[in-house]
Amino acid sequence: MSVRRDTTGSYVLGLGGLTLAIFFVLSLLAPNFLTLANLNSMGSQFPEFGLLALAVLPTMISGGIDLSVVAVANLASIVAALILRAGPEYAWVAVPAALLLGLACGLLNGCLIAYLRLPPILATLGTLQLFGGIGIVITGGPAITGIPEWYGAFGNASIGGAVPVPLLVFVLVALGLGLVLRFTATGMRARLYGANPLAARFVGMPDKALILRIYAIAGVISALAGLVILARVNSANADYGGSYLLLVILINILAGVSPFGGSGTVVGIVLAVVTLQLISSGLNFLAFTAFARDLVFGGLLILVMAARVVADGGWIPRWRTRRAKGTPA
Amino acid sequence: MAEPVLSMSGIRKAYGSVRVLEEVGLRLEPGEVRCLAGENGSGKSTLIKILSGVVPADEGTVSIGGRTIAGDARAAIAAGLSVIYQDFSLFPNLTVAENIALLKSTAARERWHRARADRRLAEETLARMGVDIDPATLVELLPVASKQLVAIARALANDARVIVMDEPTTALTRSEVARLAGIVSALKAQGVAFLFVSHKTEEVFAFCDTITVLRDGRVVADGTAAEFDGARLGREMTGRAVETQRIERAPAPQAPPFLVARGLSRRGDYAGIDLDLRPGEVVSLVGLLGSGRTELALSLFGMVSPDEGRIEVDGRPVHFPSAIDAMAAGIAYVPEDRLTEGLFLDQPIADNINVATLSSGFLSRAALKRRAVEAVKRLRIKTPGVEPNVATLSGGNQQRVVLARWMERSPRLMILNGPTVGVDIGSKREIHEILLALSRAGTAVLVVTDDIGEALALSDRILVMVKGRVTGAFDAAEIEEDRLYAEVTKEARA
Ligand SMILES: Nc1ncnc2c1ncn2[C@@H]1O[C@H](COP(=O)(O)OP(=O)(O)OP(=O)(O)O)[C@@H](O)[C@H]1O
Ligand SMILES: [Mg+2]
Repeated sequence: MSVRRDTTGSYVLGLGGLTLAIFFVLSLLAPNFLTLANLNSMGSQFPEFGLLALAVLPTMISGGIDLSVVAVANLASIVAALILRAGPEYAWVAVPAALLLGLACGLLNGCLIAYLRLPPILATLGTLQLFGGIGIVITGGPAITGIPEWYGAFGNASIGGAVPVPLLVFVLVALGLGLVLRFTATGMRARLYGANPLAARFVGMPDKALILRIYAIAGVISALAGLVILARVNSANADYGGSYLLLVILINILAGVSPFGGSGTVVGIVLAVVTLQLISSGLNFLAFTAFARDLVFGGLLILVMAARVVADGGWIPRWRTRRAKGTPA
Repeated sequence: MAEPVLSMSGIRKAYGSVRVLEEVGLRLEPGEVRCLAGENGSGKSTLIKILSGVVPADEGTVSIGGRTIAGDARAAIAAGLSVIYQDFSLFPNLTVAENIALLKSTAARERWHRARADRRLAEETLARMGVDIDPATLVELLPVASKQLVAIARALANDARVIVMDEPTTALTRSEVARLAGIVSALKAQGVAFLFVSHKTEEVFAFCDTITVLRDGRVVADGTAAEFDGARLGREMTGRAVETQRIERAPAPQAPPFLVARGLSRRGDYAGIDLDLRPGEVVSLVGLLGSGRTELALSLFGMVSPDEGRIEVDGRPVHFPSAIDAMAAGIAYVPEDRLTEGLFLDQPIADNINVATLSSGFLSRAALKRRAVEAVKRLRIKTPGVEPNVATLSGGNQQRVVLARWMERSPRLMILNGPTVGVDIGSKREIHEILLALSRAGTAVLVVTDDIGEALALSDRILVMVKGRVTGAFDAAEIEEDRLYAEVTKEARA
C-alpha cells in the first residue's frame, strides 16, 4: 500500500505563488497591464468560465465529472433571452426560470448517474448533446438578439466603477460554494464519497440523494454562468463557448482537484482561473496569437500534472492501488 | 556464524516529527526463518519497505547477498530479495505459469512470450516446493492459499534468496498454515531464508527459528525461538504482561432479544438461519471463508437482501433495503476489509471517525474535531493528531478508527466482521475488552470470525456455521478449543 501525504494545502500555496509571479512579470513586461481599464476588462471576462469551473468542482470532488455545464449555460441563457424579449411584464420571470431550468438539467444528470448507474462521463456527455440539441431546436440555429438594453447593461456595469457585476456574481458563488463544501454535511460527504464510494455505502451514506444534490448544484451554477454570458454578449446562442469545456477541465486540474475524487478546493479554482486569465491577457498584451495561448495552456496542464505526480507520488500510485483493489484477492 | 544473506544496521527513519525506526539492526543467514514481531505501529512494515528499497532510510545500511542496497527496489530484487505483500500482486487474468515466469522473463528482457518455457519453469518451481497446482489454471480461479503459494513460486523462479512475507497467514485455515509451514521448511533446507511478520503467536513458534521484537521502533529482543514463549513474546512486544485467557466476566443477562431472525435464507449463501441477539451478550459466529458468514452478517445490515425468512427488532418485523435503514434501527457494522470497505484512506482521521454521525446542514468543525480527539483518546489510537490521513496509521490503529466511528453512534447491535484481523496481541486484547464493556453496557454484539481463539476469549455464546447453515451452538466458557475447531471444519474435511 502506498501512503500519500496530503499535499493539497502546500499545492494551493504554490499555485498562489505562481499567480503572483505571473502578475508581477506581466506588470514589468507590459507597463499598461496594470491599468484600471485593463483589470476591469479582465474582471468581466473570466467570471463566465470561472463559474463553469466552479460548477464542475463538486462533481469532480465526488469522483465524477459534469461535461454538460456549457450546454446547460447556453440553454439557460436562451430561455432567459426568450422571456426577456417577450416583453417587460415577463422580465422578472427570466432569472428564476433560467435557474430552475439549470436545476432540472442538473437533476436529470444526477438521476442518470444515481439511479441508472451510468458513469458520469458518459451520462453528461449524453446530456451535453441533448441540451445542445434542444437549444438548436429552440433557436433554429442563429443567436437570439434583441435583449432589452437594461439587462445587457448589467454585464458591463461596475459597482463603484471598479467591480464589474459578473465578477461580483463569481465572488458570491465562490464564497457560497466554498461554504457548502467546507462547512456542510453535503460537502464533507461529497469528498468522502469521492474518496471511497464503497466505504460510503458501509456507513449508510445516502448516496443517491447526495449525487442528485451535487449535480443539481452544478446545474444551477451553470445556469448562473449562462445569465452572465447573456448579459455580457447581449445575445444567446446554442453553441457559444465551444472551447470552454476543455478550459474548465483544465482549470480544475490546475486547481489541484483530483480527477479520481476526494479532494479539491474553491480557493484552488479561484487561483487557477485568475492565473489562466492573466496568462491569456498577458499574451494578448504582448501581441501573441491565440495559438500561442493554446500552446501555453496545454504545456501548463502537462507541467502541473507532472509536478503533482513527482511531488506527492500522486495519481499514478493511486491509480495502481485502485486497480489492485478491483482485482479479486 | 555463516555469512548473512541479509543484514541491516543502524536503520533510522522518521516521518516528519514521528520517529518510526531508531538504530534498528537485523541479520538473516541462509536457511534461517526469522519472525519480526511487534505491536501495531512498531515499525515492522516500514522496516520491510526500507529493506526492499521502496522507502529510503534516513540513516543506516542494508546489504543483501553481500551487496549494499541504497533505497533501490530493483537492485534489491536483483540481489535476491522478494517481498510478498498481502494482496500477493498476482495477475488474476493470467495463468499460474505466466504469473510464475513473468518477472523472470521481463528481467531477461525477452521479447517473445514463450509458453512452453514458462510452463517448464513453473513446473520445476512448483515441484521444488512439493506443491501440486496445475500451471495452466487462471490465477483468479484459485483459492487464497494457492494464490499465496503461486506468489512464493514466482519469488523462487526469480532466484529469490530471501523471501519476506508481511502477515502471510491472516486468511489461511489451520491446515493451510500447516501446509505453508511444510513448504517453508523444505525451502529452508535449500538455503532460502524467510522473514515473517505475524500477529499470531502460535504461528510465530510454528514457523520460526529466530525472533526479532520491535517496540516503538527499537529492537527490544532478538534471539532463537527457544528463548521465547508466548508470555515473554507478549511482554517484549508491549512492555507489560498480556493476558490471553478468556476475559473474566459476569454471566450475560438474559434480556429479551434485540434482534431475532427466523428461517433466514439466501440462495447459494445461507439457509434456515435462526438467531437471537440479546443486549449485554457477545455472540460469535464462527465459520470458514465461504461458509456464508459474511453474507449473513451483511443481510442483518441491509447490504444484501435475504430471499426468505424474517427479521424482527424489538419484536417488530423489519425490512432493511439499505444500510441506512439498519442504522436507523440501531445497528452498526464493522466490515471485513478495512481498506476497501471500512476506511476513506486519503482522508483525515477526524472525518473517518465522524462520518457515521454527521447531522445534516451546517457542521461545527470545532465540535467535530473535539469529538474525534476524544474518540482517539478513548480508544488509545496512536497518532500525532486527528488531521493526518488515516492511511498514515498502522493496521491496528486503523481498525480502532473504524470502531470509534461506530461507538460514536452508541449502537444497540454492533456487528463486527473480523474485528481483529491484523491487530497485534496487545491491541487485540484491548479491543476485546472494549467490546465486552460495550456489551455489558447493554449493546448486543455479534462477532463474525474464523479466529477460534478470539471466539473463545471474547464471546458468551458461539454459533458454528458450516456451508451456509448454523450447525452448532455452544457456551463459550464450556467448549474446548480442539472441539470447536473440529466443529468448524467438520464438513469442509468430510
Ligand atoms: N507515510 C507515513 N507518514 C507518516 N507516518 C507513517 C507513514 N507510514 C507509517 N507511518 C507511521 O509509522 C509507524 C510504523 O508504521 P508501520 O506500518 O511500520 O507499523 P507496523 O509495525 O507494520 O504495524 P501493523 O502491525 O499495524 O501493520 C506508525 O506509527 C505509522 O503511523
Ligand atoms: Mg504492518
